[in-house]
Amino acid sequence: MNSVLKNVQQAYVLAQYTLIEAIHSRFFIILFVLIGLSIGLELFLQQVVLFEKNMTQLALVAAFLRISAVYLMGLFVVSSITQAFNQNTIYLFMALPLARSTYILGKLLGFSVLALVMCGLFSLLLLSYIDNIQLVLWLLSLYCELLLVISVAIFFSLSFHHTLPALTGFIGFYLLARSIHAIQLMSQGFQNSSQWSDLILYYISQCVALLLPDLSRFTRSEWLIYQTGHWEILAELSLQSVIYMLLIISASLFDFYRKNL
Amino acid sequence: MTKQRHFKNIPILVILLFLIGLMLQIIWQLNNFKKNSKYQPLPDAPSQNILNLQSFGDNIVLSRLLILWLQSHTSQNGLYLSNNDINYKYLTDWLNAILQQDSHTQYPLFLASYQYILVKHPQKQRQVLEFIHQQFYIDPKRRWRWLAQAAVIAKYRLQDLPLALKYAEILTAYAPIIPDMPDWAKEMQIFILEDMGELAQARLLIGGLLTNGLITDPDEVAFLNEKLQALEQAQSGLQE
Repeated sequence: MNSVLKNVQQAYVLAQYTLIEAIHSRFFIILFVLIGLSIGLELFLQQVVLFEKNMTQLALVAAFLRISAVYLMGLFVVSSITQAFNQNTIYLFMALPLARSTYILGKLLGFSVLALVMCGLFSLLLLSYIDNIQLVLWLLSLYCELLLVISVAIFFSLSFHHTLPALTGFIGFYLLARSIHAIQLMSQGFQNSSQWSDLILYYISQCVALLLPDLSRFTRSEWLIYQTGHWEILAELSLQSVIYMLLIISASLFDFYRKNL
Repeated sequence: MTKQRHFKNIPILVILLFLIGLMLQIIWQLNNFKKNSKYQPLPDAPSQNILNLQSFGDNIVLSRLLILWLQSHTSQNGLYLSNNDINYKYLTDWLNAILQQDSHTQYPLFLASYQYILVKHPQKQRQVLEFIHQQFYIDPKRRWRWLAQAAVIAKYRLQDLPLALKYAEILTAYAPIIPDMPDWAKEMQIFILEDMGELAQARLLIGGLLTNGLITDPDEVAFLNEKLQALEQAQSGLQE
């Protein structure tokens, strides 16, 4: 019991350090710049859009905030963890009486708090357009998506140690996870083909789809503008997030425990 | 943050190189701007599969971006073009592709009815009207007002009363399944028939609207009864 409490305390301290690191690496300044840009986009659209003005503004501003959140969170996680390897601070942590799992969980906790702050700030901006349950669903879904992004970015950073391959892996994963549904639909046509190359493509796309979360179902713009979201969808997405986080964090721990640090 | 050193620490050559680079970049871009100042025709619309892939799972956002791109197609690199320069086959394909990405939006139909119809080419105007007509069948409950607009355009802009009548007839036929269709849209057919001199048919239609319960508003019923009498008088006047 005592060791569990000690691990929780250590994870809490690591989470605090992650938040301090975010302040030092200008995370919040960039976040406010991105929010400023989204206000600029809103004003630009105000002049350009001729019809369904509010809906178009909301869809495009929300999409900009979503991609900004993923970009900022992913980049920060990758830079934070790869820096620990490049500046050898990871050895300092490993020299302490600190379990490797606690290190990962502490980092995860810190990044998750940052994601929560980000969603809170975005909600203030989007409240000028929409103030109903759909915004809550959209923000909770964005939070689930960010938790997945954080877990995947941690996995790639721990695996590759360097910013370039880790970031490439993370961006590739994110784009593939958002397009996998469309790729699957496109490959459906190959299912009954007599050519073996078509069949290989079909089975590869099906296998890849099994290993990825379908991010095209998360944080849908149509919830905001056509009010089509409901709690059942969010419950499904939350469960998918928990399952995938379990998978990807355990894969990260598996890799991290095998490293000879 | 560490304090930066003074500007005088920068070698003159570096400042000169920076200024030359900046000047060359501006000249290059100005030159490029002039070179590219020619009309780029509208490309053919891609397939839905390609668009789905490009949307990265968010079709609504892609459809909104595409409609803004299409809307601004007539102003390129400082050139303001007329709708006449647009290939209307490609244009309606794009509008259709955008509606397939987001079937709830009315924006493409708005652009078709208010922007792309303003072309001094009757064939292109008819292409737009046919596009609106076809789109109506996909979602009559949400798209009826664009067909009503198409009937008005056919009547006043194209002066094509049979085409206007065709659209008005479709509206009346679909009225029972469209609860929010106002009475004026259901009655459009009467006025077009009257303009065409088909007074007997107009009378029959009013009788039909009154008996089948499509018009229930008392003021509207009174108006139609007056119209019926006026038509009867006009018709008897013609016969005399």
